[in-house]
Parts: sequence; C-alpha cells; structure tokens
Amino acid sequence: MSESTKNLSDIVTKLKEIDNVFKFGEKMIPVIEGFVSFISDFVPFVEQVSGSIQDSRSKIPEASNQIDKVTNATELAMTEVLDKIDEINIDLNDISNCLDDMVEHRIRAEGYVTELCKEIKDNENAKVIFKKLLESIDVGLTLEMMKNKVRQITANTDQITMSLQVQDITAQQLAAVNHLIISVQHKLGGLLEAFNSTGYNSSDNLEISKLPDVHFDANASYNPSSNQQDDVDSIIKNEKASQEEIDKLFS
Amino acid sequence: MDRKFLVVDDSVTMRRIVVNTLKTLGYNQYVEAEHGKDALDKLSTDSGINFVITDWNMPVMSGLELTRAIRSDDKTKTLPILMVTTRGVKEDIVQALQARVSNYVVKPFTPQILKDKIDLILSN
Repeated sequence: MSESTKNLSDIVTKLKEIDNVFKFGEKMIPVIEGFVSFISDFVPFVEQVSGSIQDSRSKIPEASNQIDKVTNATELAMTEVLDKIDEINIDLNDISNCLDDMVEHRIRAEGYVTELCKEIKDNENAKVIFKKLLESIDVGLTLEMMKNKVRQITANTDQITMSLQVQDITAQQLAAVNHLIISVQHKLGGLLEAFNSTGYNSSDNLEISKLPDVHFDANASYNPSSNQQDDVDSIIKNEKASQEEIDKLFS
Repeated sequence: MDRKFLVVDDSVTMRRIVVNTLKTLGYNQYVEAEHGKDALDKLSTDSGINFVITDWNMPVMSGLELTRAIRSDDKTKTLPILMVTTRGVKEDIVQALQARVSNYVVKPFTPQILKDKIDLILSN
C-alpha cells in the first residue's frame, strides 16, 4: 500500500470516529436537556431550603436569649428567697438565744424555789399553794417544745437551701442546651455560606453569633440523696489510700 | 472565728447559698469571686483569705485551673481548698485530688455536709 493510500484510510477512520461522536451527542442531547430541566426545577427548591435555614437561624439568637432570660429570672428569684431564708435564720438564731436565756432563768428560779421551800418549813398549806403556783407558771415543757420547733424550722430552712441548689443545676443544663443551639446556628451559617459559594446569594447575611464562654456540666443532675456524697467520700478515701500506698513504695 | 473565706462560683445563687451557710456556722468574713481568674486577683490583693471554696465549671478559669494555680504559687500553696461541684463521677474526683484539692463536695449539699468538710479540713 502506498503512503498516500494509507493516509486516506486514516482520514476515513478519523471521519468515522467524528461521525460516531456526533451520533452519540445526538443521543445525549435529551439527557442533557433533562438534566438542565431538573436543575431549573431544583433551584427554587434550593432557594426554599436556603430561606428556611436562614429563617431558622434568625430565630436561634431569640431562643438563646429566652433561655438566658429564664436563667437570669430564676437566679433573681432564688436570691430573693435566699435573702428571706437569711432573715429567717437570723430570727431563729435570736429566738434560740432567747430560749437559752429562759432556760437559764428557769434553772435559777428552781434554786430560789428550793431555798424558799426551806423557809416555809412546816407550813403544809403554804407548801401546797406554792407547789400549785409553780405548776401553773412552769414553762419547762413549753420551752423544750419551742426549742424543738426552732430546730425543726432550722432543718426545714436547711432543706430549702439544699433544694434551691437546683437553680444552679438547671442553669447548667440550660447552658448546655444554649450551647447546643448556638452550635446549630454555626452549622446553619456554614450551610448558608456553602449556598453562597455556589452562586446563590442570600438576601440577608446574618452575623453568626460567637459561641458564649459558658462552662457547664452537661450531666449535672439534682439528686438530693445523701448517698451521692457518701459515694464521693468513699472514692476520696480509696484514692487517698492508693496514693499513700504508692508514696510508701517510693519512700 | 478567725477565718476568711474566698467563695468562688459563677452562679450568684450558689455563692449566696455558700455564704449563708458560712454565716450560719459562725463564719462572717468572706470574699466572693465569679471565676478562677477573679479569685486569683482577690488572693493577690487580700492576704487575709485563708480558706477557698470553689466551684469547678466556671468561665474564664475553672476551679480545677484555679486549684493548680494556687498550689503552684509559694504564697498560696498551703491554702485549704474545698471543691463544691455538680461533677460526681470518679474520674473528676480523681482529677481534683491530683490537682490537690483538700476535699470535695457534690451539689446539692446540706449545710451540715459543708460544715463537716470545713471542720475536717481545718482539723487536718
């Protein structure tokens, strides 16, 4: 085969390949048209999703503020209650001191009574009347009852003080929720930025609020049982013991 | 009583509860701080403070960081430190002991528990 014949054969082969490409292109056109149509339909959906994200994101700071307001309001209320408990404790302390004074007076009075009985000597009628008089003015039992009441009220205020610690525990739980929703806001902000980078411009660029510098125990729970402190004491005891054993090995 | 307490907690309610309890126990001298850094500032300006009661979870500087800072300073390293916190799991308690807190109380606590721990620390 001559050189010119070989060249012509190559050209024919290339032309056939080009023809195949055109034929494939003709077949692909409906597919591409379908894809373009799908994208055209998809854009409003993306806009709708973006709008929803923006809307949700704009509501998050409000929700976060509401949580902060709840925490602040309960903290204020608790402080007021604690003020009153403080006043009650001061009053109880005063009452307790007064009762102690009264008990001392009574002990002194009993001494005087003994002395007086000696002075009355054989006057039995005077002794009977005097005994009745003492019984009618004796406040010993009343004093004891009042002291018990004071102890009971003190125990109740202690219990209230313990219960009020629930405010700190719920505040930590709310701080955890707040942190979570602000994190969601950050994620949504990231999604909006992704939309913007694809050419879709959001109409409202909301500023992403910074994550607050709040430290909390997300596992904080209100457990007034004394077992909790017992468990802690037991751990401390064991840990201290094991540390002492380690220290002994090194000494 | 010759004791001046530094009460460190970011919660106003908790500071108030601890202070009220201290007053009930007869301790009337106290200073309050909102976080660890604030506490260190108070310690550097008030040499009369001789007992620290601190929360763990606080902004700026935690109670654990505060404990480490106190223990690493020659002027304050022997101060009694009572950690009062909601964190009650063993890992946390061990971490606090390693930072050398003097004792550990979990919230919620009764005034009696706080008294017992203060007495125990002071007796040691």
